Amino acid sequence: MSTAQPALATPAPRATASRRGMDGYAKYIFLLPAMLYLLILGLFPLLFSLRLVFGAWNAGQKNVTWVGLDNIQRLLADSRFWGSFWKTLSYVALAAGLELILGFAVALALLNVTRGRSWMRVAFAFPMLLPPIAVSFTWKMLFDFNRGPINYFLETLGLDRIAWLAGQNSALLSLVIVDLWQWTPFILLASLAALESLPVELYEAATVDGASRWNLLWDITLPLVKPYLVAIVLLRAIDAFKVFDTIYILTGGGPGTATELLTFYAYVAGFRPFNMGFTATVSWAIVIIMSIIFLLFLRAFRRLEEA
Amino acid sequence: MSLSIGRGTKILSYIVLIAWAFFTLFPLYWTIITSVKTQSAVSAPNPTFIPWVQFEPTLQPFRDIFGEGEGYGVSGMGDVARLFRNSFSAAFFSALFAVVLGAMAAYALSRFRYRRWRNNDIAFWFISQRMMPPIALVVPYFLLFGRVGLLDSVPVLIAVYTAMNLPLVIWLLRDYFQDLPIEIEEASMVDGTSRYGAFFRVALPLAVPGLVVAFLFAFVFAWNEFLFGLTLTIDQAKTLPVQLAGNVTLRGPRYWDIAAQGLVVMLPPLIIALLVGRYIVRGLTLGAVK
Repeated sequence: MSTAQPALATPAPRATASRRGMDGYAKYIFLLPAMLYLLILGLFPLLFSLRLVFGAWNAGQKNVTWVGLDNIQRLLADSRFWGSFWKTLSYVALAAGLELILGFAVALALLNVTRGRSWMRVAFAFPMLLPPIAVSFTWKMLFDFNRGPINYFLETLGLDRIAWLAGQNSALLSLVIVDLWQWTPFILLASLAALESLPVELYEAATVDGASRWNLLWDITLPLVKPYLVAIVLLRAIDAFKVFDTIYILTGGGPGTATELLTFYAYVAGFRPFNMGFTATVSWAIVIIMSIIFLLFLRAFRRLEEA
Repeated sequence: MSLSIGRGTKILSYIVLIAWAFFTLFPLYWTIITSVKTQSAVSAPNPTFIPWVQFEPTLQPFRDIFGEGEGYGVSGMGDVARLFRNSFSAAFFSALFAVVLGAMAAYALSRFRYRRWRNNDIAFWFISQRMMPPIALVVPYFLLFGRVGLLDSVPVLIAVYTAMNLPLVIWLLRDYFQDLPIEIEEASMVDGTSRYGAFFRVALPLAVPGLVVAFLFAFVFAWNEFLFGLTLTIDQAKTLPVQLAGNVTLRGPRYWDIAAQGLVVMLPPLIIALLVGRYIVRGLTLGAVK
């Protein structure tokens, strides 16, 4: 890497020669520490774990033994893995989709009011900042079959109690509800910021032309914020993929394997029994799945932007 | 954006907002009132909602978890001081390091142009590190740190949390530095200040509000972190969320204790949210929309 490049880019035509030479080094001195840090603690461990995909390492063992494709074959043949894969996809789609609808709706409502807007913005942000483990225990109390307030409300309304965390389908749904509580605020506040950045003039012109409020929403607002919304939902979906804490506390993957989503599966099928080779294999599968979905999303995003 | 809004729309908006505020705040309210209930109030056939009216509040759960009551044997948090110290040091120092390294990189990305890789590619590489599923790092961390005998130590948590938060910090601060006027730095450099002087004496002081927000962000995320805490600590370096999670295997829901413990763990992030919530919200959404 040549370090004495003139800093062409510094948008300063007045730059002196000595300064340019200095920036040549400074450029790297400022950037490299963070880069090296992430290479050492991010990329290097990841590559190290690639070695484990083809190896076995169990408790008490000194070195990794070579097992070829055993781990991969075991993974691909494991119906628990595939079940986990599909459940994760439905969890992410359901959580991110509902959060988009709710978050955007509440953001629109917030845009319509002036009184209380600033404190609501802060109050609505609370859930995001709280520790997921503590949040999970809170919801464990709320979902409690006998003493939880949710079932009490249902009964008061004349409905049946629901076995929130113990039912095959309701357990996954319960996790989605917790996700909605904690992370809808992200979509809400980010889309509010996008909405607030829209130019008022457009609306004034359209109103003069006699457009109704629904027209405004569908024909002006939505097309303008669509690229933002896609980016926001993408970020949310990537994070939803990694869900672990709430499962650990609320369902432990159960009932049966009903809520054993990918990260949790990697933990219980690999890490807990100390089978490091297999955990590494599941982890790499997760990395690959996430990258593919990420790329598909990006392609859809580009198409949206072009359209 | 402000437009004349019909009465109906306004009423509908308020209904939506009140419903959402209820959904957001009720779980917190429930945690707070459960933490001041007695065992018999929690196990009552019908849940109670209003303190002093429906049940008599007590501080017994807090006495239990901090080791004064007789319930301590079952529900105590163990060495609370050490847990708190572990969580706090891990969060504080990792946030500090992430902001130091992040501010330098963010400044570089906003002031210099890199030609071999373009600036946007470098920024994208940084943010792509955040996309990585943490579980993929659990095994290599466990083995590599284990090999050098560093498992169950707070410095390892600090190192890991710094890496975890660095991408987000860079992303936030890059925006911040880009919005700072470049002219003051240039003027000082024309006067003979070095680039380092311009960074430390001109840009950094101007960026303090941004640095504080980034620091608090990193602090909260590290404070809340669970998966690395669970897999990289055993006892000595255990953090509060890991201790709290230990309740999951307890027999019978001792909700009054769990609520009190949960509140203790929630407290620092809640205080941060109340004090500087406005700036945090702005920082968070800025990062997503730009």
